[in-house]
Amino acid sequence: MAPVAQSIAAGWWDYRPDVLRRLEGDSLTIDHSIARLSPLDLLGQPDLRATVERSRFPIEHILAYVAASDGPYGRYRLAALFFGPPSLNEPMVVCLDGPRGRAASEHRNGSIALCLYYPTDPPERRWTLDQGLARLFDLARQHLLCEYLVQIGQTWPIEEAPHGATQPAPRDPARALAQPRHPGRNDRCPCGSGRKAKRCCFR
Amino acid sequence: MPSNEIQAAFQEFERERVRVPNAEIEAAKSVHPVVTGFYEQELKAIERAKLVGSFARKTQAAHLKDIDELIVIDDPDGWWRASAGRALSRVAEVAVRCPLIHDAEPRVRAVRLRLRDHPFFIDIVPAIKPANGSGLLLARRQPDEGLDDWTLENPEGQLLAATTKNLTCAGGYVPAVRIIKFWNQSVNKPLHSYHAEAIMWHALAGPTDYANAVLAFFQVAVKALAPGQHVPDPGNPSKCVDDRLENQERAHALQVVSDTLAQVQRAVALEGDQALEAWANIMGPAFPAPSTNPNHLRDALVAGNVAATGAGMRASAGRPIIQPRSWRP
Repeated sequence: MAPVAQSIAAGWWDYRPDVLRRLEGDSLTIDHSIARLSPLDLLGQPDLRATVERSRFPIEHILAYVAASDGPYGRYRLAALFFGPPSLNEPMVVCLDGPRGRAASEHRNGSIALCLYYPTDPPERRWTLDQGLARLFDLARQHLLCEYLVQIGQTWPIEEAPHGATQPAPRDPARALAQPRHPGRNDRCPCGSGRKAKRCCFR
Repeated sequence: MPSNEIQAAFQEFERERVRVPNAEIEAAKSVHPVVTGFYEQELKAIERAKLVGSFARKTQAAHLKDIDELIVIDDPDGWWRASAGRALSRVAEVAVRCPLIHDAEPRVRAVRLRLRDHPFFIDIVPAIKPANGSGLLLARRQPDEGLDDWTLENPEGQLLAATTKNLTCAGGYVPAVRIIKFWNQSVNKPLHSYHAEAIMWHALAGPTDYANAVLAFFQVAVKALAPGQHVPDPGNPSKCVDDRLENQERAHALQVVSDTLAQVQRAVALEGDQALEAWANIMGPAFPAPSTNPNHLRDALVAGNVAATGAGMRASAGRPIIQPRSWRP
């Protein structure tokens, strides 16, 4: 149980500041509660530490942010974790306070991760990188508000993402986005590190 | 003059949303005695241990962040006094043997213990008794500034000052401090927490309602943040809490506080729902007001009229939320 190592290798975002700019944009200005988490912060919070350890993803490549969610429930803390570049990877958004799992609502993946949308839906029906961090956290805040309403005996007020085996929602031609060609494992990693993807973010 | 309705809204706000949840308090109460007992066993030199800091004063807001545990060390041969850095390192080394502790990090005056199963920290603050006089010597380790010494402080005096003030204000001081700290967090902490607490200590002279307590805070804060002004530490009036405040930080804090004072003065002059909305604009979406009422929020969600403001949702203007996706073609 040695003290946590202070020096951590550079993250993928050090090679791709353009992606970081698209993600952060003006989010940190319009939403003062958003702050980036360091690897030390991730390891110092038991829920985040457990999430990181379960993912087996190299911690130096996990981009993480924390934000507050204020509402009739008080102030909850949200965290968004990007396991690799967000252009290719869905963020995991977790709530660190309040009820957990089924006690919170049916729209949880496990105990603390929020089920914000159906996983295989097309990108125009989900949060995307260019919508920025603040809108991702706003989506999560709306989710927590819906959970609170259910907890006080009301019904989920907006359309609910279905659970269980079902078809994803159809493409919306009016909002369809061009599908990016995903690099293969032996291609150069899209983060810009110069390494093969299978030895970098795809590990 | 703020009405009973405003006072009731503030009471609900403080009781239900600002105060640290009981579950966190109970978790802290179950853990810190175990850690203290562990240190008393490992460091035979501990004369006494005491809770100090904002947890002891009960002035933390929203969530429990840290617990300050003062350990007064009997140091007859001067081993601890010889080097503050060495003393802090010794406290950190001992921590690795405690099963509750994940890791230990020596800081300027304390060792921060990260726990395995709890999100809050325990800061162990080593202290030794001075040769003469009252107070305690606290370690100070700042290698960047060449500091490795013990300085005379009065950590227990801060607790006494808060307790006394709370009695003077008929129990209203501590909740008022929590409310101000909640506000401070929601605007990205222009003030250090204890600086805000000290300003409130100087602002309140007796019992008052929350709206006037908040008004008094901002009126005093604007004066206290003016260039050249300093705020004496309530627990140790010979020292000031803002001695190390940089000019740029002071200017930024003054700007935020001045802007908020104008909003508070408008809010205090209003009544009814208008006053509640004005206070919600200041305190954030957790403050009970018509636009933050759960039933109104539900109606707004159904109608698609809810917006994001600050760190929450309101049935009013704000940032648009990503529209819910339809699951039907």
